[in-house]
Amino acid sequence: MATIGGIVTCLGELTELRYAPMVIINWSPAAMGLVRALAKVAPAPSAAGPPVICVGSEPAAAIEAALQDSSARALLRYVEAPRLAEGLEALAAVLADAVDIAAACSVIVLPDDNTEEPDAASRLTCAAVVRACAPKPVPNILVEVEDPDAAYEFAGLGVATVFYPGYLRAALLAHACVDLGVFQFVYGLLRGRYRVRLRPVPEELRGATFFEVARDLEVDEDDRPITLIGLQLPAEAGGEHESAGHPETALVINPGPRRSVRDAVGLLVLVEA
Amino acid sequence: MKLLLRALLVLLVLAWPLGAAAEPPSYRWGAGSKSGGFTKISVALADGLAATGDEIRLSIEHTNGSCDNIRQLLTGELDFALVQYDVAAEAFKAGRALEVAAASDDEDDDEAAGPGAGGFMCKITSADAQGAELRLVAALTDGAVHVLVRRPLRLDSFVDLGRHPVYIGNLGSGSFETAKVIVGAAGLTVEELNRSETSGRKAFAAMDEGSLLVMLRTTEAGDPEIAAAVGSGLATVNPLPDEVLNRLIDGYPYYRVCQIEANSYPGLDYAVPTVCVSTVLLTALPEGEDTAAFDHAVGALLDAVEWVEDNPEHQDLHLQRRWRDFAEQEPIALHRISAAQEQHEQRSRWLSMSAMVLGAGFLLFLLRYVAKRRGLLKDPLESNLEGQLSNPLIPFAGFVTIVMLATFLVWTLEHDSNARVRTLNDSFWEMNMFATGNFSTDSLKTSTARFIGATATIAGLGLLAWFTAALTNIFARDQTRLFRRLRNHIVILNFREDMLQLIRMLRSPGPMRSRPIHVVVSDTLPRRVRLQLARVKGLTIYHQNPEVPEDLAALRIPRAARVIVLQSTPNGDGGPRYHPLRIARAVHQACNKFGQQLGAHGPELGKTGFSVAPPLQHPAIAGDDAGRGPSLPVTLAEATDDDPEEIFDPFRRWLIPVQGRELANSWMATASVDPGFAEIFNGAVSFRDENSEIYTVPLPEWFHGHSWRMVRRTLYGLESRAGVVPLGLYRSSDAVHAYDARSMGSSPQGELQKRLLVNPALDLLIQPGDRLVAFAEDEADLVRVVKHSRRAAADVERGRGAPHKV
Repeated sequence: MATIGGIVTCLGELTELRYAPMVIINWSPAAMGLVRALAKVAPAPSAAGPPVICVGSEPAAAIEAALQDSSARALLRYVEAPRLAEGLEALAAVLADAVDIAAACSVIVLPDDNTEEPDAASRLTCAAVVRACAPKPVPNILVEVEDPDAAYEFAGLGVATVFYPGYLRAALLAHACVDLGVFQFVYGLLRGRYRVRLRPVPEELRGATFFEVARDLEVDEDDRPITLIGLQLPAEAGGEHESAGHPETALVINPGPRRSVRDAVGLLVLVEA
Repeated sequence: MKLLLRALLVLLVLAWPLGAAAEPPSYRWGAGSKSGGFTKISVALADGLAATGDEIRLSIEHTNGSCDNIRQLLTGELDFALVQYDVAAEAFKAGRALEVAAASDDEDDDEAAGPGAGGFMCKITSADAQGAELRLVAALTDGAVHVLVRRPLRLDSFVDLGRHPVYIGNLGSGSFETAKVIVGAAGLTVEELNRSETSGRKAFAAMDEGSLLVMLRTTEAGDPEIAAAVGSGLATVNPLPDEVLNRLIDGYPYYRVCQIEANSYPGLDYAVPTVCVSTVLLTALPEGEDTAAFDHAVGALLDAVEWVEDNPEHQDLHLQRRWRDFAEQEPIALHRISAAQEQHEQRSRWLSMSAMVLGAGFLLFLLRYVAKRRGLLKDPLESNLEGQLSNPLIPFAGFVTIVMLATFLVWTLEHDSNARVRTLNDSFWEMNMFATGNFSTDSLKTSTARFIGATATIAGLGLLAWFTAALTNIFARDQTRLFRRLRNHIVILNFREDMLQLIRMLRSPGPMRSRPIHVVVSDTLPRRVRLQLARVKGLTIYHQNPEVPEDLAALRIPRAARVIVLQSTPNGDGGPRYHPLRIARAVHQACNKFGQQLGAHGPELGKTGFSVAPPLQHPAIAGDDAGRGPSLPVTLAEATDDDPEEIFDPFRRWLIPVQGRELANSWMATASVDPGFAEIFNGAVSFRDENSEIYTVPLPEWFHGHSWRMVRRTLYGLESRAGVVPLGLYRSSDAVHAYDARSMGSSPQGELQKRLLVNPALDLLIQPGDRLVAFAEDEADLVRVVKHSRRAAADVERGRGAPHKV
């Protein structure tokens, strides 16, 4: 049985997305693929602005020139920000004023390749984000690190996810080595072919076990087969994200057939996109 | 005058036919008793002389055996005689003693020892031997000393020999003389024995009656009379005790240690150690008689010996002519004709041996040439000294060689004289003892043999230390060069530092099977990373160029379960940059090369047969069969955003490009809007304890033909260490490659994607070969649950599904 600490998204629910800009810090045109990927999961561009705001230290004119012929130009708005060397305050001010980062759905902090120690720079950037958001809650922050051992340095900065791309590659290749079927499943999960959705616990099953719920919950409203994989449970008070303004929950995958769903916040089901 | 001339003419005419029909010269020949073995040999040789030209004749004289023969030979009454070698050598020694005594007389005028003392065998004195020069023509047959004991008596020690009635041969025979010295070696005299003085035949009768308990006879192994006694269960052959044997050889080095082989007699299932003595053909050359005519006689006799040796009618005599090596010491010189013949034979032997060595060398050269032409020989540059030093097989082979060499040399030196090494088997085990550090001077007698033994001990200890060090090195580094498994292994090409995560995951708990990993690294990989890799169990490191097919040959890629091709370090480390596409080509070529080595229809090629690419030695030519491919393992190549996926299209049947950066972007995009995804994904792919991951297992036959709904309900209810969450099915495929080219869509993942059914229709029927995809604590747990699901499945079928603990 696995217990994974988790937080709810800026929408309060895992799956129902609303329009909100997604911010990428330390962005450069080399990371255009990330903009496209974000655009795919974000709602269509609206009058309020493009779905992605990219923050970088390169001159706006140079970026404009680089993106002139790009088909993805409409997906982003570029904001030129001062380098960290000029101080946290300067960066925090730009993030608060020009980006309105507190209103962002999520923030992705990429490693700054121009610095000696990119992960340390990312930590300072996160501090600037917290400062720019104050006193509002910090949006979901995802940090890409270059050194997996640096993950612990982001504690207390409201960072929801620390991502090490080497781990993802390793996981994919390792599963391909062990079992091609599993590899294919993981690949589908990454590509968005399969998604995990949160469903409320039906009132009539509130006193049932995980086995009974799984037996009764075989299809969704559209009569498509679904698979119950776990439960979302309320976590103990005092967690990091709770202090940042989010209610803390825990995700339990494969809780066992006898586990009661009485205290579950929701049911985690696997669906095909 | 005329009358005188006529008379002379008449005499000449009369004498001419007499001269032309003159009898060949006859030589006096000492045999033995009329029915004895010596006489049989003598008659056979007389036949041989007649058959080989009738150049000389033998006047066979019957005697009492070796003693009479040697005596008459010394006195000039015989020209040739058959004598047991111990008796002959003692007589020779008597002659030498006289020479020594004469020399002593010269130095010390009147205190010379008298020549009358007859302490030598057959009571030969120095005076008897005076003036005769013994010469050995050849050794003819072998006799073994038989200690025949009436059952149930058994003689382990000769100390008690005096208490039993014993027969040791006829007076004057060699057998008697030999028995005398054997008894002496046991610390007894003949006078102390309860000796039966009778003939051999009567002695057997007495043993039959029970009045005689022990017999000492020197005769050929397999003697019919002894065989009858042993075969009837009346008597058995006892071994000569080791101490008697050694004392005998030390005092009378004219014997040699030998054994009566197993099955020489009926019911004798084991070899019996004893001493052997040869019967030799001897002549004595009084001064001035060493003439050409006598040489001619010796030559004729040797021809006759050869004739008897080859004649099937005389096979029962077991005649085998030898010049040397029939006794521990052979003091009597060969006759000059025999010596010349020996020299001639030695030259012929050396010539034939040289010819054989040359022939073998030429054959090996030819084989090497052919093997090189066919590409079967490895490049000698592939092996190096470091590799040889770390290979424990080398010291082991050296140890074996040392033991074998020492075994042969020591046996050659001492098998005639040392009871402990009388057979090659004895010598082998002695040398094994030595080579493992248990040297003992008591085991060997001669200095040369001891030197060889000591050398074997020192070399053996050194080689064992080397062997131990090599093994320790292997176990310490886990670089199982010897024991590395090259089947169903994982090959990682162009490894880089950030992929240590991959190694950690492959060695994490979870999957039941831990495959051997073979990693090809570049020289620029930091040493600390290599050291980390070296500590991983079952991982072998190669320093090769992954773009060179020959370098990949040692990895046996067609037998691998998976091949992973990685990009070079993105930021550059100053080292060579290898491109996955070029590595993929090298993998393809390496598989072709491997296939060529195994043959087109080898098991590894399976259904695919010949290769697409021609072997490396032969460039591609128009008309090569490009429609059929080699057997290639599923290969995952790390691709970049810069390279379109399509560049791998030529290899799409077996290669899966993994766009690492694109997938990372996808992951971050999903996780940024859905933090739960990050946690669920990490949980699902991490092989950690107390964490459910995804595995596949084959569904057992009781699910075949049933609906997915039934499988799902059954498995949801089962629990072992943790529960099981069934996600879907992975359908089987009998395709050799990762994909079935015929059904492959636009994407190289098409076939795999089609086989994976997540959330399948509830009424989908399970087919044989279908695998279950499910969340489980670990693979073993899932296997256990599925294995014990039969009863639960039956309950579900009857509509009585409930949670079960297995």
